[in-house]
Amino acid sequence: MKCANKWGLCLFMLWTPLLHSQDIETFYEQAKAALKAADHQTALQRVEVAKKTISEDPRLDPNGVFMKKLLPLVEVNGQNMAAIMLALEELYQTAQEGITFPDLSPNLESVGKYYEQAREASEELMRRRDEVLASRELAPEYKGALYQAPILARIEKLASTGIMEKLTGKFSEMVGVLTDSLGAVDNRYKMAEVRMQKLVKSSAANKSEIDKVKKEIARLSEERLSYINTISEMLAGEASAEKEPIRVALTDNQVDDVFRGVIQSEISRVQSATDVDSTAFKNMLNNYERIQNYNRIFARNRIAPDQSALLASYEAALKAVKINEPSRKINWTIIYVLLVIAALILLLLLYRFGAGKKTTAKTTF
Amino acid sequence: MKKLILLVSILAMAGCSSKLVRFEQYSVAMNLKVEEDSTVYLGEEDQFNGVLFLQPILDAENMMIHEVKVIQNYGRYFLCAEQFKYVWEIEPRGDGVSGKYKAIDVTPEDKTDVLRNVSFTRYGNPDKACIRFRFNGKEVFIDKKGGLNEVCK
Repeated sequence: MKCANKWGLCLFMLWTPLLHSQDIETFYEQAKAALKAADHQTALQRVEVAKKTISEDPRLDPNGVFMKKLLPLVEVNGQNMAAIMLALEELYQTAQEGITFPDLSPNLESVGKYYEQAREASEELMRRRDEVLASRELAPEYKGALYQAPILARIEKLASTGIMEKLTGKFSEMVGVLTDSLGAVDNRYKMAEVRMQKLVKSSAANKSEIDKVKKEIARLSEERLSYINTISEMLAGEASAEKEPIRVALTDNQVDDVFRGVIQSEISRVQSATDVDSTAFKNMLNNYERIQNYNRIFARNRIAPDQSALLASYEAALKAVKINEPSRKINWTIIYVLLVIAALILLLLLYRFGAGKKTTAKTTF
Repeated sequence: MKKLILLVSILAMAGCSSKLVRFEQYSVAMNLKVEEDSTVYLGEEDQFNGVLFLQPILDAENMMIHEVKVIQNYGRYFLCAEQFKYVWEIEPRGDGVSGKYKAIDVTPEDKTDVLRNVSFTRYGNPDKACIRFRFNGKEVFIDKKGGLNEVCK
């Protein structure tokens, strides 16, 4: 207490509690904290207040360290963060409005094309996001905050599930057409089966007629599985909330009934199969594996109950199939030719042996 | 002859004196972590320029703290923390390994008073800056030699 009257100072402090403004340090710390929370608006506002306060009383910044060095640094980071955030918002808006899928015919190829478009759109969105993030310099302590910003989470959600949701919308439209087509093919298949049973019972039916119906049944079976395959492709990957509209549409269209019918008719087809060669059996086995896979997909997405019991019967029917191996016919012509050649060689050897004996006798004599 | 000797002496003294650069030793207020061994690193992470060993000061205050406010003005450090009774001034000595410290009582009228809502900031002009210390809704100014004033002189 050299410089002031001790009691005077005490009196001053007792009776004049200050309603003072905040320190520049406080504004500066608040600005930095705001930037670390990706709140560039508050940060820039605090910098502005600090600058104004200093300009009103320059003694608050004796060496100008805030005005010349510290505040501009926070300000530049705040401005860069604002620019990045704005660009990210624009990117999000553009992506959300710009990602659309064209109308394609409802088949497996279209499902593949849609998935490819969705993947490309997602990758493009993430690439452009990275471009925006790298477009402006940010101090490392603020960069981390930027990655926590809600706009980035929104972009990532759009890239991962948002695009899939749009695709699901498209698939939902396709589902109606696909299930109608599947139902129609299923009916044709059943009719062909009935026709086949009649033919088998009828004594008038000839083999070519039966073969024709058999081929028709095989073709319809293939077509039916193709539709189921297209539907299952729409459900590829893990079951998720985005696929709910597809699931609802499939459930509404009673795909589970059709699927169960498909397995039952495939079992009947396998059980009635006679004269099955190894190629035909391989096809049957492939169909079984495909249906087994569809069952997993449908059960996982709650499209149809798990048909494991029915599939066990299917497997048992497959095991009971007798495969006709082509009989190995003996080719007698080749055997005759080989025997003739062997006889000729034997005769030649005997002849040479006989001739050799005669020559030896002469020499000895 | 006397004038010549005087001139030669002045020139010799000028030749022997060391060269100087302007070196302003001050800082903005820092909130620094107090380590378990009561040391405080002046600066952040690898950008520190000294370590304060606060044990004697903490003993005098009779308390343990986790954070301390520190500011440097003309080479001297001033530190305080919530619930402290004093502001502490540390003046580094020339040996580079020690500093003199003293307590500054900013509430001499009340020996039991504790300091709350404390803050430091430098105030004034480059050649004559004080530390503005705020506490309990009041403020005082500490000059470059540690003197306490109601205004920055």
